[in-house]
Parts: sequence; C-alpha cells; structure tokens
Amino acid sequence: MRGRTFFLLVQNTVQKEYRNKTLIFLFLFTLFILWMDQTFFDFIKDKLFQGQTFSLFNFKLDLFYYIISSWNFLMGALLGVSCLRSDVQEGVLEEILSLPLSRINYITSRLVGTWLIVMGYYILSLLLAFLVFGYKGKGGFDFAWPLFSSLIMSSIPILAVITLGALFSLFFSRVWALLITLLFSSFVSFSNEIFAGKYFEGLTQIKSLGQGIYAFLHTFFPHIGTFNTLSKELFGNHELTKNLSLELVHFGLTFSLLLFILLKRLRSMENYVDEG
Amino acid sequence: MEKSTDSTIIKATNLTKTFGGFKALSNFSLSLEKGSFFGLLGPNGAGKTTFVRCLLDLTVLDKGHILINGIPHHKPEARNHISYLPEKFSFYPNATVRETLQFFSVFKILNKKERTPEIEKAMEELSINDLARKKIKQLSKGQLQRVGLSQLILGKPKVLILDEPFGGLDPLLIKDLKDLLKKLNNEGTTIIINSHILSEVERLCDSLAIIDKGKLLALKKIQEIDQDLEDFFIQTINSNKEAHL
Repeated sequence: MRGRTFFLLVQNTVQKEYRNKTLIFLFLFTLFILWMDQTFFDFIKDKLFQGQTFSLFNFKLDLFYYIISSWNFLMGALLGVSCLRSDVQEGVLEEILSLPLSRINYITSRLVGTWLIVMGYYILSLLLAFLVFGYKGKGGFDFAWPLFSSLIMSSIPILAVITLGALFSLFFSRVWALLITLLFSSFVSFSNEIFAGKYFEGLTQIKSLGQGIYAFLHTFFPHIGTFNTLSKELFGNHELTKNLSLELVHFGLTFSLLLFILLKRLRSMENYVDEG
Repeated sequence: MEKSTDSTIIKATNLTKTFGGFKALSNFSLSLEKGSFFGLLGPNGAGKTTFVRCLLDLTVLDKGHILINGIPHHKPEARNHISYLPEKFSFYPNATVRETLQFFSVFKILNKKERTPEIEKAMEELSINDLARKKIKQLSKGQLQRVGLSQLILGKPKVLILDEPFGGLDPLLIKDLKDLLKKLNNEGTTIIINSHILSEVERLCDSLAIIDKGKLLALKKIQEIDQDLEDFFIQTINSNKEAHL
C-alpha cells in the first residue's frame, strides 16, 4: 500500500504541474533560450569568422548548459515552494492527509515528484539542445560522461533547494517563501565557499557573528554551493577539488534533518487551509 | 496490531486539546458502536470539528487516545476504512471529476480491476455521470458537493464522517444525501455527522452526543429523549452554562 500510494502521489505531483501549464511554459522558455543561444553564436561566427568552417557546437552547448543550470536552481526553488503550498491554497491538503498515508510518505512523494520534473526538464532541454545545435562530431569533444556525471551531481543541490522551498512555503506566502529560499540558498552556497573542505570544524573557528552564521549554515544545511562546484568540475572534465564521499555523507545527514523539520512543521500546523 | 473484536468501532478516551489558551476538547470520551448513525451536536466553537480532526489525526492531541477498530488513530492504517467529507470539499481545480475520483480510488479500492466499476457506480449514485470530463473549477457548489459525496462512498468504507454536510445544499441534494446515508447505514456503515441542524440529526441519527466548550454534556440514543430535541439541546447547553457561573 505504501509503495502504491507513494507512486500515486509522485504521479499526482507531476500531473498538477502539467495541468497548471507550468511544464508548457518551461518548454516554451527552453525553446526561447535555445533560439537565443543559436542566434548569438551564429551571429558571432558570421561577423567575426567569415568563410571559416568550424563547429560551434561546443560553445553553444557550454552557454546553454550554464544558462539551464542557473535556471534549474530557480526552477527548483519555484516548484519547491509550490509543491506543498499549492495543496494548502487549493484546500486539498486536509483531504489528502485524512487518507491512509503517513505524513512522511506525503512529503517525500511531493519532493521526489518535483525533483523528477526539474531533472526531467533538465535532461529534455539538453537533448533538445543536441538536436537544435546539431552534433557533427568535429572538435573531438567527449560529451557523454562529463555531461552525464555533471547532471547527476547537479541533481543533489536541486533536491536540497526544492526541500528548502517546501519548508519555507509552510511558514510564508509563496512569494516570500520563494525570495527567502533563493536568498537562503545563496547564503548557504556562500558559506560553502568560506568553509570549503570543512564539515563540523567550522563551528570551532568562529571569530565574529557573521562568521558564526555562515559556519552554522555550512554545518547544518546541505552544501548546495559545493555540489554546484563539483558539477561544473565534472562538466569541464576537471579533477574534483572536494572529497565526494564526505560530501555525500554530510548531505545525507543534513537532508535528513531538513526532512525532520519539514515533518514537524506539517504536524504542528493547526489549519491546513490557506485563509490568507 | 490488535483488531477490535467487540462492537465498538471508535473509542475516544480523555481527549484534551488546547489552542493557545482556548480548550477545544476537555477530557472528552466517546464510544461508538459499529453500524450506528451518530450525530455530534453543539453550538459553533463547541469542539465538534476539533474532535473529528483529532480522530483523523489532522490535529495532534495534547492528551488522550483514540482507537479506530482497535488501531491507534495516529497510524495511517487506522484510516483504511474511513471516508471523510469536510464542510467544504475541494480538489485541484484543473483536474476532471473522473481524475479526482481515480485519485481517491487508489487509496480506497485495493483491487485495481474494481476501481473503474466502483467509480462509475459512485457517479451513478450521485447522478454526476455527465460531469466526468468537467474540471473541478467549472463545477457549481452543488455539483462539487456531489463529487465530494462520490469520493466518500468509494470502496464501501466502514465509517463515514461528514462535517456539516447539509450547509448550503439545495433541497434536492439534501434529499439525495439523506437517502444515500440511510441506505449505507442499513448496509452496516457507521456514520458520524457533525451538525448544528437539529431537525436533520433527529430524522437520521439513532444516537447523538451534545458537546459544548470541549466537554461532552450528553450521550443518548434518540429514542431515549422524551422531549423535543431542540428543547433538550437548549436545556443541556444552558445547564452547562449555569454550572460554570
């Protein structure tokens, strides 16, 4: 029963966004980015490299990847804020929670469904980019493994941002939750730069209030900035500058903490209907 | 887990719930027999909805415990055979009626092959077959309530809980609802209605409880009340008020 209801809610999460036309809007936005990317580089080639024949595939893909990676961060926050909040706003949460399913089942299925939407969009965008830009095999760019591994790595901070968005959405309105999620994620990323390579030792090296706050964020929240850095290193086929195993352990612990806080918040809500 | 072997389907013991300084439930205890048609009466803010929400684990109790068919209420499996209709039923505005019922049917009907026939049957029962492809946001209040009732009866639940089900309904729908509830109760379904419309409770229920300020003031079978229900209700509430002065 648990598995069945979990998959039903994951499916329902995707269907919700499809029905809200969110996915259609994202698809149109992707086409726009692809067109701008293609047009920009074709213009550069025509104006600066007339008569020369070479492939701009790598440049186009690089630019597209960087734009989509940044956009996915925003999309993770946007959809994360919506995944639980929409149930509250539409007055559906009470009906769902009165069904025979646990709160943790509900939360995780919403988070996984949202994560699948973002990652699915990410993969489809890249496939579309390959088709539009036209891989002609010139330049010897070995795209398969770096792109694939970069994609997997970037799925981790996206899951963290989605979860933060979902948590803040249970405290604030959608707009405020989105702003706070983006700001908070940025502060966490910045703290990851300050305390790079450290895990809990950062807490013992506090010399000011600001440093204390950043140490707290770095220690107790998933390392969003670190995983984004690792993703870029993989895409560029560079050597990893962080200990991936330790980072994954830290992520497991801090993500579990986030889930626990989210569960406690859902449990403590006295009213599951948005009256604001 | 222990299943109840006696005739009690819901057993609530010493329930207490406070919101801020306000006591919504105060040492509230109640037992319901299987197959009963039970009315929970009380003025606004008496604690009726709080009791239902605690029963469904939508609100965390401060003290006390509830057993549903012998299963502690906070376990998801306790709600396996319960169907709930809140005062205002709603679902995703862009989902169709059929999609809405399909969603609920997964939780209520274990056998995949039975889901479609059960959905068709529920829609037929509430006369909403022609609304199957309409989106929830396109429905009128009455139509939406019919969809809510359709999801309520999916999977032949053992317990139905309805929170103020008659509010704002047209007479035709009220009649359909009453006929449906009587039919289900005759088939053995336990029904709990929260209401402050005494006339409807009197006609439908075989037992009732009166609650005020979170306390159980009276628990009786309808046939034991030898006066007009409205008089009995007012008398009970006023006696409680006088006791507090």
